[in-house]
Amino acid sequence: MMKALKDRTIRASIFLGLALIVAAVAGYRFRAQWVDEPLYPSPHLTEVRMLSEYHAPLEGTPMDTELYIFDSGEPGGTVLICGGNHPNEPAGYLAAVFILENLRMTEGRAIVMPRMNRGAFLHTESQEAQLPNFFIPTAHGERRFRHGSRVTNPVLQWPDPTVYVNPRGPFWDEIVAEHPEIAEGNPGPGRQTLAGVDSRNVNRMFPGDPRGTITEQLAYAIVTMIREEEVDLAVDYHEASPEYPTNNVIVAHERAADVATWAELLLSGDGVAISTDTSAMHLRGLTHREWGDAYMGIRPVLLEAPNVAQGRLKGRSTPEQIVEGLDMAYVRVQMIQKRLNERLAERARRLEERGRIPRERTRRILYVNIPETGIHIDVRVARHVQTTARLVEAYNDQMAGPPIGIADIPHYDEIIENGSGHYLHGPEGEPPAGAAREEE
Amino acid sequence: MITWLYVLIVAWLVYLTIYNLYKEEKPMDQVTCAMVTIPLLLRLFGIK
Repeated sequence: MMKALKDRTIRASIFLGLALIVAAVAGYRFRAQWVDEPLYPSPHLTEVRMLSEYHAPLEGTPMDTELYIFDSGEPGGTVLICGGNHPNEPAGYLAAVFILENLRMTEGRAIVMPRMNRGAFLHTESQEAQLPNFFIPTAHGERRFRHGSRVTNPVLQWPDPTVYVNPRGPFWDEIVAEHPEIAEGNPGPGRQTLAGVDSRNVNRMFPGDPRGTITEQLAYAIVTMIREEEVDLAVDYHEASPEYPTNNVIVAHERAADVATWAELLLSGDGVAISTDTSAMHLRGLTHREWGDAYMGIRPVLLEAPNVAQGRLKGRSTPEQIVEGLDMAYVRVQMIQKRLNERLAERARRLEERGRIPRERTRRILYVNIPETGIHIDVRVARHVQTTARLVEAYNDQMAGPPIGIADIPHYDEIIENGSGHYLHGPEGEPPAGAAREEE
Repeated sequence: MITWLYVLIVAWLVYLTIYNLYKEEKPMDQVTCAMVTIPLLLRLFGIK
């Protein structure tokens, strides 16, 4: 009896010891995600601020994030460039870093916020076998970037509710009192029921709540910063899975629609096929909707590029999936879609021959064409960067507000030809090999 | 407030799991208890 008890205790201690070792190793690896990779702003950076300057309770929390300010010293407007709203969308993050490391302002100011939801960089998507990093080759070796999650780390905010109702925020009533025309057909922010997990998705909770959850406070701080800094044009970088209809688009608030459509025309000359969608008034909490409804001076847009790594139909997670945008599962889905549509067309033809009207002729599974070579991250970054340059140009052409001058941003063709890493610093902060730097 | 309440619940679950780890007689049940301890500890220490 005593021997059995002793054996059981020894066995339990061994198993507990092994569990502690596994927990320690896993914990070390998870904790490594909490360390920010260094970013190397261009020499034209004038100031770095923390977002908590606009909402003090964020100070010292993992949600507080850097604002990199490029002030030309010349009068003009302010452009806000954001990445990392959803850190599982790598080209969105990388495009903001690309801008940060190359930008020079000639008129007005730029505020670059590459890690909008810093709390979502601290972990990966749960149960998605998602890789925690991706690597971009530079002239000085490979540089590591974190591949985070769509939502804030649950360690910072939990438990999730069953249903999340996004906040109304403190700005709408004030705006409507001053500009009653904005409320025509516009229900205003909040009061939308969403899945519980969206309680940690910052892009469903703008304009935020100063006394809400930590993610709602982050949203509130960003909107407060936009209002205090009187941002004229805002660009929020994203990516979407190929089966998501909002892809290769500029989603624009109605106040930004003129700038976005003009930019779309300019981009057609660059060989960048993109379309403009108007931000839906009944889809609340998103940057392109709420930033415009919380501050009358801003023209906010959101950009989407296709990313196979975040799709539901993806194959095994690999580094190529993130960087090269290559996934044979999607190529196969594309073949299935083609065969399906051939059959549907044949059936429609037969029905029409019998004088009947077919119900459907085509069916879409994917909303982008995925070549067998993939959609490389350089292409996705180049799309975002070139669209930003053209949006600023369109904003100036249309005299939408005080002029904004940006410089040293390589052209789309140059980024495709040389790769985005050519214009980024090396892993130890070595200067980029890019042409923009050589001119200095 | 609610976060601290949940941390207390997790701490209680960790205690119960380790208590059962030592109480279970079959090795496989003990292994199960040990495996359950891993995510609970990671949550308790605010890691994952």
